[in-house]
Amino acid sequence: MAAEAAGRASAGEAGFQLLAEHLPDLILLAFDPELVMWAATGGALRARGWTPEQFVGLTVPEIVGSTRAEDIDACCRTALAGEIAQLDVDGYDDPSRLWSLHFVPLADAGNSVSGGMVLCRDVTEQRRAEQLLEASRRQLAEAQRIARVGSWEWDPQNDEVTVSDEFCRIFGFPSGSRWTMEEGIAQLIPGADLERVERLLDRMRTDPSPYAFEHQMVHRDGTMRTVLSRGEGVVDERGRVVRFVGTDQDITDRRRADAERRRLLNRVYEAQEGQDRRLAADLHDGHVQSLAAIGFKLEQARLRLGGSGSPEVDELLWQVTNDLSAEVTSLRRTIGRLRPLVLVEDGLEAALREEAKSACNRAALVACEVTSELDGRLDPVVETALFRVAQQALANVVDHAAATHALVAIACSDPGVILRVSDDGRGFDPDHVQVLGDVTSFGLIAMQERVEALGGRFRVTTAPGQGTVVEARVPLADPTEGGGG
Amino acid sequence: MSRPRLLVVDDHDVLREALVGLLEQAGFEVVGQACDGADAVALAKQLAPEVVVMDLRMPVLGGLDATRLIKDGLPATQVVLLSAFESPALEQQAEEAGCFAYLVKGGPPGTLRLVLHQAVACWRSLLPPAGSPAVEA
Repeated sequence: MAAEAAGRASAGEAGFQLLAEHLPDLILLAFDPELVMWAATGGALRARGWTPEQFVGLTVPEIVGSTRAEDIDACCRTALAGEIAQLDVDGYDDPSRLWSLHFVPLADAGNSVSGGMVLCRDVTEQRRAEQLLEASRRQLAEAQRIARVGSWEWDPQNDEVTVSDEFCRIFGFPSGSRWTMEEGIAQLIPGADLERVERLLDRMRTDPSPYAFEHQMVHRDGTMRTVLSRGEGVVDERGRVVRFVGTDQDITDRRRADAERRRLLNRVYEAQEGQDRRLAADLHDGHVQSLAAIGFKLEQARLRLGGSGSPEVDELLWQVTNDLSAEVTSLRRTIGRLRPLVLVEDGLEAALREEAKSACNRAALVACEVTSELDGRLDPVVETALFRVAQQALANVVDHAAATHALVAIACSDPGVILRVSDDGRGFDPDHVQVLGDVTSFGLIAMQERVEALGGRFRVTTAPGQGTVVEARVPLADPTEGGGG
Repeated sequence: MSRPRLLVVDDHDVLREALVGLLEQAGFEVVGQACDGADAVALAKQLAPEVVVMDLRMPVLGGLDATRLIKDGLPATQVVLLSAFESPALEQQAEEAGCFAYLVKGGPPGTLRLVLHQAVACWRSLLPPAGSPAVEA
């Protein structure tokens, strides 16, 4: 049989062998209608130190592997029937290797199928890479699902947007959805955010620098989602933006939780301020009046005694009246802290001026200036919060800063108000304060929570010997209200 | 010389009565008492006191508004505002309303009497000279 097969080698077959030997990762096996090999060649054959003689004369199922002999037999017969078949099998002499076998028909000069050929390729590394890639894809999809992050890619030249499965899931679209950017915007961006998004899009066409901004997107069911969008451009060698990749993170639940936390904090502060107001009213309407009345009576008694009483009794009454006066003054200041009347009646700037004056009286401050860009009154909740922050910050200046100058400044910024309390005092190391867990002693957490309850941002800038700046930025309208839940 | 005539206005009964007792003892004549700003204005017009000792916060009409009305009709009558609040802003408003002084309740003993004597002196200085036509109150 081997001699017969060898006899089939012709000039054409020699050419075929020459070609096959230049295919580095292939082994080609030619077989006849009885599935007997009559040729074996290919770069991969030589690379593994195998010779054609190891294969020629054996049937294909015999040489490729015993466990899949039936499958291989069937594939050979498919090729003999004029069709192509494919099969992955374990290695010939090394079970850790994986081979991909393609069975193709071979035709004679009359174009009739006269045999077949097996193209064998070692795909072990390729399959491993494919498995790793698939695992990586699964992990990415899982990570996107857990983080509620959808990713997208935009080709500005062709105006094609491709999105990840999680992106589709977040916004209710079928997996594999593709749009032009214009279609995507029309479907996903609500009218209120349209201008901002289109402005960003114009920038993205020429500017690849990263961006991050928060906006609303419309789910396919019509509900509004709050999204943190990030993106960055990819440029060609001439610096032109060739594509933009980005993510949209669904932060609706987080924003809802933030809003709920702020709502609860505001209720706590409201309750606390209400309690303070009631306590102040009780002290003012009851205790201060009664103590003042007692003072008047003591003074009357002293006058009535006049020259007829002993000087010791007169001195005692004078002392008691003075002591009482000092206590009433202290009580009145407590009332002022609980319910700053000037804040209620004259607004933030007037209240801050009084607080600054009081700080000057209590500390070695040469000056405590107040500047304001405010034109009119703010919402009472905002006024109270900013006043309390300034009150605490000034208390810190008095108690800890050893400053000579302090400045309380209110600036207007679109769309909110900025309060800054700065001093030229000793400053402190914020990290050291954090480590010591000493933050609450400066009221920093209380100030921060007060500002964040209004959807604002709080910052302390300080260093030893560099003074301190406490800054509170408060929006005049809560950005999370009215959209995204 | 007759005792200086005062009107005492405060909605806190115990404090008002103690204040009246002190002022009477100190040689002033309390010609009337009121417990809100509206009554104070009416009584001031009726009694034309030399000085009104006026609380700041009261029902019906507050001390600042009552002061403005009294000073409109009785420019010579002096108003000493007696407040439970220590506030430069309120002090400023009191001055703008025409008050002679802004004192806090429970202040140092003797201060109120001293200020009232100063207010009486001020009232006297504003009286028309003897023989000139009377000022219509």
